Amino acid sequence: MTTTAAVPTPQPTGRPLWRRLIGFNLLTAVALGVGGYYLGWFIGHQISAKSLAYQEKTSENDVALLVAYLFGVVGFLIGLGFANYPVSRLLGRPASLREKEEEGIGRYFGLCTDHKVVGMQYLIGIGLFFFIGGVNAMLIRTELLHSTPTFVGPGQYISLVGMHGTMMMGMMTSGILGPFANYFVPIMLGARRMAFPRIEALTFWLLMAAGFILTSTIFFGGFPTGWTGYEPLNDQAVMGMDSYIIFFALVGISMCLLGLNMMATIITMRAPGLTWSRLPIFVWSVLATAVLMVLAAPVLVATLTMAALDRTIDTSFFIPGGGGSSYLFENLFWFFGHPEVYILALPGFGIVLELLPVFTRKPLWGYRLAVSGMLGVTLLSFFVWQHHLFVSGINADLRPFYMLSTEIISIPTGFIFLCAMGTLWKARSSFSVPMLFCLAWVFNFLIGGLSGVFVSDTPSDTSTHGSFFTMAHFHYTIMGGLIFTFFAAIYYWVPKMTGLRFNERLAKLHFWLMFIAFNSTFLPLFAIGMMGQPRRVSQYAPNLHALNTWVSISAFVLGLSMLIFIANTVYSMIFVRLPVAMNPWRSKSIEWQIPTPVPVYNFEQVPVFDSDPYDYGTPIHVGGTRPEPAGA
Amino acid sequence: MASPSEGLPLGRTVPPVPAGVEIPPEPPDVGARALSVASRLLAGATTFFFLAFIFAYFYLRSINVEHLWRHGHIDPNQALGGAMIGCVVLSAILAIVSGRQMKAGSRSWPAPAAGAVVLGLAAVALQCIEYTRQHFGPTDGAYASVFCAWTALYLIAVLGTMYWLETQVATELRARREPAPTSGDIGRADELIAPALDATVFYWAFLAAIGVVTYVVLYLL
Amino acid sequence: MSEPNHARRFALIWGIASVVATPLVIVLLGPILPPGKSTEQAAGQVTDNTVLLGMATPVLLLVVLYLAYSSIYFRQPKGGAVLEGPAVRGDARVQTTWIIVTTALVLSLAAYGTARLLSDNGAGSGSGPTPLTVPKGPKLPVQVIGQQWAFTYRYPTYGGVEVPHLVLPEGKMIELHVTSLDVIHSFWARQLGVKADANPQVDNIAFVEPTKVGAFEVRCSELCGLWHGEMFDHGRVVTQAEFATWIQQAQVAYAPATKALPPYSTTYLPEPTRRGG
Repeated sequence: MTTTAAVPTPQPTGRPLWRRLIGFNLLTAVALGVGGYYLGWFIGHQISAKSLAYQEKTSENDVALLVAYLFGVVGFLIGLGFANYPVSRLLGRPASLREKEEEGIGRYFGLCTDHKVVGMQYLIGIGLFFFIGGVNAMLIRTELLHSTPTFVGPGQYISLVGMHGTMMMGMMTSGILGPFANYFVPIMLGARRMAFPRIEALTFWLLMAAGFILTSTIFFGGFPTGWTGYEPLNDQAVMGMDSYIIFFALVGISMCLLGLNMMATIITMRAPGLTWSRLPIFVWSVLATAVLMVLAAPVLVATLTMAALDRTIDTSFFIPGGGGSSYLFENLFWFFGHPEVYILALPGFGIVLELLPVFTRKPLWGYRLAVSGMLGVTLLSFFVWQHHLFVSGINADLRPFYMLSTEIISIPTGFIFLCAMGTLWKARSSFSVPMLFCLAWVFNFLIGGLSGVFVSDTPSDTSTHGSFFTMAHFHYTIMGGLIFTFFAAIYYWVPKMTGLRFNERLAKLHFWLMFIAFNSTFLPLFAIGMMGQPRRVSQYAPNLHALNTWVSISAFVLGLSMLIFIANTVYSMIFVRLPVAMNPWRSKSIEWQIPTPVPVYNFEQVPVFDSDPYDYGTPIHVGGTRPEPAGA
Repeated sequence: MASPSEGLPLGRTVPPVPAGVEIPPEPPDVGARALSVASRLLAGATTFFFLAFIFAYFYLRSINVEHLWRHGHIDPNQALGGAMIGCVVLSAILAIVSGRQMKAGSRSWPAPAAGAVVLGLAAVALQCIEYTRQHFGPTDGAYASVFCAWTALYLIAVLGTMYWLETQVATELRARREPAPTSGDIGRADELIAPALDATVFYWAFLAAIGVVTYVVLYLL
Repeated sequence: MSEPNHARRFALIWGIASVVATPLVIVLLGPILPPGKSTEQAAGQVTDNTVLLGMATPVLLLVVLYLAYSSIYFRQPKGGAVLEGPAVRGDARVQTTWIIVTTALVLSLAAYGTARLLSDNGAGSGSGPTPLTVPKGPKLPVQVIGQQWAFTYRYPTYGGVEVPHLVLPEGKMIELHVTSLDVIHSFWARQLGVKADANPQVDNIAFVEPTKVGAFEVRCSELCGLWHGEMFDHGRVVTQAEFATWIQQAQVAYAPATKALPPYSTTYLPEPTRRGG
């Protein structure tokens, strides 16, 4: 067999533009999406126009909006061409792996089954929504320059908070798995593709539809619940809440499929010789994350389905007046929600441990310990969810158990720290930008972890729960943990993906500004929380005004550092376009041994592995070859 | 190895396979194993999805807020419900038989598989009839909520699985009329029919087991 | 080959830093740690926070000093060829020690937290309708009712009178019954060291014993809709004599309202929360 059939045949050059616009592409997708939306809106009104009295009074119709969103998404996917293959299978046509694809730049704007294209799509798409989430954060901090609502009203404020939180928690779950795992895991495995290339493309386009839907909440009044969507406030909220529900449900489906695809790929597609103990540690972290995605995300989808039914056909899962319980939502949500935060954290562990050996010129220290740390976190994260509910009065007699399980999870997390520190020991570190971001992770996640000890301890949590302390804690773990490693991965791998290099000076400026501003933003929040400012309020005590102003200004600097990154990207990737060297980091990992740009078939010969990719360093006892340490 | 120094416009990052380069095939069992793993993972995800409903059932039942769990005469239609789950179980058994026949090399396996699809669709139809016959709606308290949502979502899962099973039958029947091209991107596509059927049968048997749990919890407890 | 013994040197640096810093942190920061000492529970939380801070300090120093040390001493020399580090892939002794130490630390933390939680009757946190431990002796029950967007307070032992601002007697064990009429709120009286979620249809009990006369803040700490941020007011802790006078006056002043209220109950069936309903 040859894979020549997989290579897109060049389009006839004489094909007129208008002809190329007809077909399954993004344009059709948007048109069908909009059409589907209005069709759904119409049908929804026919279903429920008269059945629910309050809808006439308030001109609200959740049925119509939910149906409209669903039809819109289906239309969008059909327009992209996702329905073609299922229909052809229904008719009994044989299975195939790839779609016929556009050539050239068009590949990036449609259904594409090349994992490298999907990786790039993810990077740009997620970056876009990350930017929107970041702008929300800037607006939140602008409002908090005043101790009373000034800049936006209280309704807009909580909508901003909700959009920021939901966008970040929803989109960034795929922040590393989407771009980098899709791009590099098959390469690291010595494979040519992901196990299910169409599902891979589907996860991306679902996520884009979801992000657009969440953004559209501003047209329907926003939503007041924050990212947690607690009931019964959820049930009480205006139509903007439906955007949240559809967004998170789509993200859940996308996450579940992404995880399933990753796991199937890692389990079945490893090249000869790539045993489990030779797998790059990044792939291990992806595997651990994928387990959480496959098992936790369905619970989210089910929970949001219940919430949607409560809002539309008046079921009473979460409505105490109808026999439901707000505790049920809290239980189900956090059963997903706690694995979710490890879905965010685990890929970061992988990136740090994957990159440290390259920049320290040492093998990864304690490979097995790192793997068991990741798997331990994965397993334990299903048993800690009620620590989010220490003061809620739910199962109060289980609190000692959840305190124990929560604190036990810091043991496997500690393994990751030990492995990072062991790798740094007597290293030959060079402080390139990716390395700086990895070291920043060590510091940030340490602060995040230590403050986590306070919130996991029930007596201390009584004060810190629901306050800015908790908010600072999870920003240290998620922004300090995930986003810093996200940027490490960008600076490390994007040169491979594009063949172009970043401006080093701007990158360093970005790092230092981001690191300092990040800490300057979130360290004072611990104090603010302890001094009595709850999360998600735009009104706070006047004595906290000075600290809040400090935090806001730091946050703006943090925002500025992101602008520097964008400027650097535009400058380096569009204007200057300096080609990158073959293997600029002297990495021994396989993705740096193949040509840039990576050919569509990845490998001419299926590689055979005979070691893990951490074959750095000189053996210790080779007499005399060990050089003097720099500082001695 | 491509020279790293060429300018690299985004759209053209992927060079075509050079003429004369033979790309060796991937191991033939990769597709089959991926399908098998995926069906197991999908079963895991489905379990967790319905676990949310099982949890909701027992949670709301145990706290019974204001005695609103199941007040009045909220009883599902035992006859229709029993018939529905009967169809599901029978269909799963037929699917398993079909899988066995296929493994034994019999060419008659599409018949029981098609029967399984028909029975599965019959189960969906019976459930829909039950919705129109029952004396309560989703607004009648917590049990009614769980009942309606759980059964409806189970129906959707059954429909999806029936689609999946149908594609196996359709593929096989078409492959008998016109052999699949062997030059496609996964080589001999008809080699995937057997593992795909295997994966589908596994998943359908698993989903049927969830259906039995659903029936026991919603109708019998 | 005059490479210093890095392990010993770093251990020394860390040891000295910890020995110096930890008592300093405890002595300097301990007394000013929130939430203050105006109730038994708040004072307990301060102790708890101090202990955790004391345990966290050496860990923080270990990693931060390690980062600094390795960044200073373990770097590529400037210029010239890239040097490789030693090919060490692990050290069973270090790993075992680390696992043992972290496990011991974590288990002792959990044990300590549990002991504090139980010995302090929930440490001021909402402990559900049937708390695991209940303080002995007489208690003053006070109901905290959250609704959008205010807390009100009922005194069931004083005819179920409902007042808009919380007043508590000093030196008495208070039994707070926190519930909600609509969505989830969270009753947070920071200086008292109390936080308890107000869920509809749930009677969430928290115990607190004020030991100091003075004012305290009350805030809602669970997002509850539009005016969540405005949901704050002040309460007072007064002497028992002042409380007796105040509650008598309140009973009289709010008598018409009390008559119109539903009879005292641990929970109230909420109105439907439907929009426009």
